[in-house]
Amino acid sequence: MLHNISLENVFYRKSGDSGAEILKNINLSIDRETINLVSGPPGSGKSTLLELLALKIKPSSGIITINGVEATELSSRNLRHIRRQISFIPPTPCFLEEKSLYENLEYVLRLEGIPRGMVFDRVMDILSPAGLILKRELLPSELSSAEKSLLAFSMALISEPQFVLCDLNITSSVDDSRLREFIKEAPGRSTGVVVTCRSDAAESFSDIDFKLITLNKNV
Amino acid sequence: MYRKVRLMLLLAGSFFLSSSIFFIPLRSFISSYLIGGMSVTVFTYEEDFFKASVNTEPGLIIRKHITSEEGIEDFCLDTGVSSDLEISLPSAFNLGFDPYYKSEIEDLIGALENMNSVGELVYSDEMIDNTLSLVSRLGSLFLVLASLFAVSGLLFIYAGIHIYIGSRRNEFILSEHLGYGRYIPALSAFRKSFLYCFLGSAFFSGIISIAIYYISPGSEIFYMMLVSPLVAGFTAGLFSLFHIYKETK
Repeated sequence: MLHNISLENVFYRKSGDSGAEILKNINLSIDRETINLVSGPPGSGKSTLLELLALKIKPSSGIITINGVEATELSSRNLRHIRRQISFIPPTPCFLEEKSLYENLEYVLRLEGIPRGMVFDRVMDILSPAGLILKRELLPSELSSAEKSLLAFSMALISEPQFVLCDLNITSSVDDSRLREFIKEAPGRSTGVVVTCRSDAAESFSDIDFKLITLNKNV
Repeated sequence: MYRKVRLMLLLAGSFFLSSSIFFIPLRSFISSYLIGGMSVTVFTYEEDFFKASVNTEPGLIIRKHITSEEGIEDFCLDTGVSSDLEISLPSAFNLGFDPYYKSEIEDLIGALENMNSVGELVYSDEMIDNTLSLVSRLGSLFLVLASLFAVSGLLFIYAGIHIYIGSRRNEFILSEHLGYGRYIPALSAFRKSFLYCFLGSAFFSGIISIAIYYISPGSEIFYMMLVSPLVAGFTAGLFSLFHIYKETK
């Protein structure tokens, strides 16, 4: 069972000639059932941090540990097993465009190997707090961008992963209010959330416990 | 729209690939008829019947299927062939287009000449040469046609799979982002690609087999009916794996 992911003295440099340093000496720990907001100006490395946590990229130096085990030392089989516990939402979420909302969520449950008989209840259980029940027959292209973010988060959450890493850069605007409320429910589903946001969005989480990770731009 | 195009391409590919495979028995079948004009095949046992044919003169073939020993005697009485005679040409399937069977054909004609009951044989060296040359040319033509059909089949299947995997690209990305990797959607895509072409090819193979079997019964046709869908299915499956690798690397 995955309980935490921690980064110790992590540096990340772009590969290639420029070799620009994107993340510098990052030390943090992400625990399960917590909400972690990552804020910082554009180019400060928020997305890179999430990709590191999702084990999609390797740090230039430093250690990423998962439950005390160094991720870089894990075999590819174990790494694959760990990755199953981590859902990643990229800045532009990906959907099955020819399938309805319901079918998109159903697809994730099929990947998870959930029996057919349980699919309907699981999908409804996630669509209800997301406020998308009435839109379940629509295609993703028929949704507003706020609703697309809700769908992406629903798809990440429906398989009940240990962590959801959400690179949607949420704001304090009314458009994102439903998503913010939905994110607040995640710890109740035993899931830890790391979400990138604008600095002003942190205030809208003041009614719950959360950890704020602020990144500065490395010039 | 894409779904229909993909289906049409895969079906067309299955048809062409199956047809190209069927050129093997088909060319033997046609050659056997051409050579049959020059040859005698007496009492070769096939499946549950005896197949007997005798030429009384070039181009005229008496062919009968005899299902019992009594039938052989009747056949011999009708055609005047001795029931003790057993001359076997290499089977039509193996005979193919090899022009070097001339000596065997001449042996057969020699044997026929010794059979007073068959009657007068009308043949010439030129006729034998012409027939063998025609068979050889036809063989080359069939090989070219078979290659064209095979290449067309592969191209159609490739294009169909390209569209199919392209339409499932988001599944791979999604599966990757959600931590499931590419294995599950890749396996599903391989399975479906295989099934599409296997079933398409089985359908066309069935029709072609029945058509050929109706004209000339022979068990080798049914081997082709099994081989053809497997070839088409695995071809599609391998193309799908190649495309998945290209899409997700």
